[in-house]
Amino acid sequence: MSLKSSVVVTGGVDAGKSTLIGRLLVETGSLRSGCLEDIWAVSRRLGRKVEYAYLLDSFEEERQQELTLDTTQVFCKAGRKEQILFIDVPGHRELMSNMLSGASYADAAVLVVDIGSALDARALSHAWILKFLGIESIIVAVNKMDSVDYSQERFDSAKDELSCLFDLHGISPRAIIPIAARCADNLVKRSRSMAWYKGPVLFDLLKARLPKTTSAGFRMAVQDTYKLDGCEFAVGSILGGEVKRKEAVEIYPAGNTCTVRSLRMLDAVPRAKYPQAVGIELDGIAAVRGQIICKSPLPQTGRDLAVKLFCITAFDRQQGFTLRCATQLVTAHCTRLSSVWNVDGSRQKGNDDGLAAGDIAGALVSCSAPLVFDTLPANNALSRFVIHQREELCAFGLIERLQP
Amino acid sequence: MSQLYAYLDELEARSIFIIRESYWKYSNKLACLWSIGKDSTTMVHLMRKAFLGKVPVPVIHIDTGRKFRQIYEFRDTYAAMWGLDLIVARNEPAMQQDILRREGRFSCCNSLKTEALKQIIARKGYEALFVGIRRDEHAIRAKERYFSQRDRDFKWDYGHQAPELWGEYYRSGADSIGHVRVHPLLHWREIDIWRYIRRELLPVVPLYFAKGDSRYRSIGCECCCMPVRSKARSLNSIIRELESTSIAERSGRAQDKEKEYMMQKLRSLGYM
Repeated sequence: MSLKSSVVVTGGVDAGKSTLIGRLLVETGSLRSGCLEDIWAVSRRLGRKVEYAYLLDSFEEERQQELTLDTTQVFCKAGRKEQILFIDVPGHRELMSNMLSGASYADAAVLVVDIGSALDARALSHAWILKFLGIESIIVAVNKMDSVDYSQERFDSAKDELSCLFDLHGISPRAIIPIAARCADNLVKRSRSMAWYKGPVLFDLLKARLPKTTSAGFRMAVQDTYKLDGCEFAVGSILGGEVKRKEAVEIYPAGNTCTVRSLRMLDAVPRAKYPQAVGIELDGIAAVRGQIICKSPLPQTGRDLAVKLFCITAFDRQQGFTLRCATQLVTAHCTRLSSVWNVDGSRQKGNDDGLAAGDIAGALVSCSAPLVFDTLPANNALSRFVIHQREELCAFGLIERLQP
Repeated sequence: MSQLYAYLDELEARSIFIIRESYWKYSNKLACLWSIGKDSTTMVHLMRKAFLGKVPVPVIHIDTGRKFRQIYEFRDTYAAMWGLDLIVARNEPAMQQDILRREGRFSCCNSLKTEALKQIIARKGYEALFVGIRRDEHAIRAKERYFSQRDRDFKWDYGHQAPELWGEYYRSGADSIGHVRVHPLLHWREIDIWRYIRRELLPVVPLYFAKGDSRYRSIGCECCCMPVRSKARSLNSIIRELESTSIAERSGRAQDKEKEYMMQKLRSLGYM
């Protein structure tokens, strides 16, 4: 059984995210025996209708409050030998860091919107976050169609509204699908209640395999140096490309060239490639944590960077911070902010204001030491970074270019 | 087949990255919990790979005195073969009393496992522990993070978990009271573990293979484990069985079944 893709299901509070995943598990026969019976019993005891969301919301508090508090992951059958990983995340603004923790593992997303509630900036803000995390493949599921009598008119107008909104912000969903998660309409099987809908059903789109992109050149961020039988090995996971024994490599940011004397996993190996974790013994040089061992095409290096930031918590831009990119760690400060938006889309803030949770900003960042980075392909391990202030992870971002 | 290899490589690399990050950060304040089951044995193997053959982290077996004979035999054989620094932790005073019969399973698990762990952590001053749990084992474990903070009393504050991004970034500072649970296997499925055991030619306790028409899918204390019906006598047949089964992995584990939310309560008190 192999894994086809990892799909985060996102959207506002009560849009029906957990219910959607729960119902998909039931429809695809992915549940283990006893699971459904347990859920029936719990639902009965709490005096509610069958609540498929309980399949995901396992905490006692979550079931009582009918609210997802933290992210969870479940596997769903997709054909005889394949599975899709679903990531459920909370919709509440206050639970954004839990949402990000889950969504960062996804390579595709389903954005759930409730046909009954106003299609405001909330849908847009979730799409924004997905785009920021590097998730290109977004499917919009317009949920609770049963609550509007499966009206084609209502769906068409919602679809137009959403398309306009996304278009304006350069987000292009793969599809917009009318569903009723609770009743399983258009999830796996075509809905009889919406015969007017001719597009694909949700699960068919999710089953398509998405290509993975990694760096073209060899990259390894050194995590540590281990001594073994009198030899020193720089260890790390390969972020892209491959490396062979006796080959010349560069140590960045210094830019020294040297030769690979040996490669080791449990035993000596002649070569290693992405995504393997390996130990590299270099000729004459000991590489240390924070250095990047690489081959052509080489990465860029620099202290002054133009970046895009997403704030997980409020943070004080006047204060310095720690920036981490792969295993590199530098102190840095923000020299300029431009176009600060809050993710709820409501306002463009003044550039001198502090940054609050959910703010997105363009920024110039000046680092205390040169940082090694790649900008292509977008969102590889060397193009994204996080910012810590007083040990708390308070923002993450993407490096756009070197600032001359 | 090559696709399966690449997939297992990816699982392996993500685990090794987390193992190495933890060692870099905690070095001699770090230990690994080894229950001798298939998962934590896989984790020990991943440590051997991460550290290029020689494991510098002590390996703790929480011994309740009620484990299967085969578990003890396996432990002693491979601890010696792999040159592990094995520490056996037992809550001796509690083991003298018949807690299981007198107070039930919840108390028994809590005192023989959680308390024994608390004692060894206090004695050795560990700040971080590798624990081989997986998300797909149990709905409560699915809510975990790779790096999970426990306070001095071992409580899991699951309402306020720190963010983690891409499996690469996590909260960097420990609270200096309590310890950090590190879960390098969190993203593995049961079937991934078995495929990896097959690929890497890893040994496992023989109880996992069928004798007659039953086998154990999950092992622990002899008194609280039930076998499942199965004719799987080899790795290949176990993998084939898992491709089609709908029986939950821990269905034979009594402590999961006892009561709704029992796992949540055990875990919030510091259970593994």
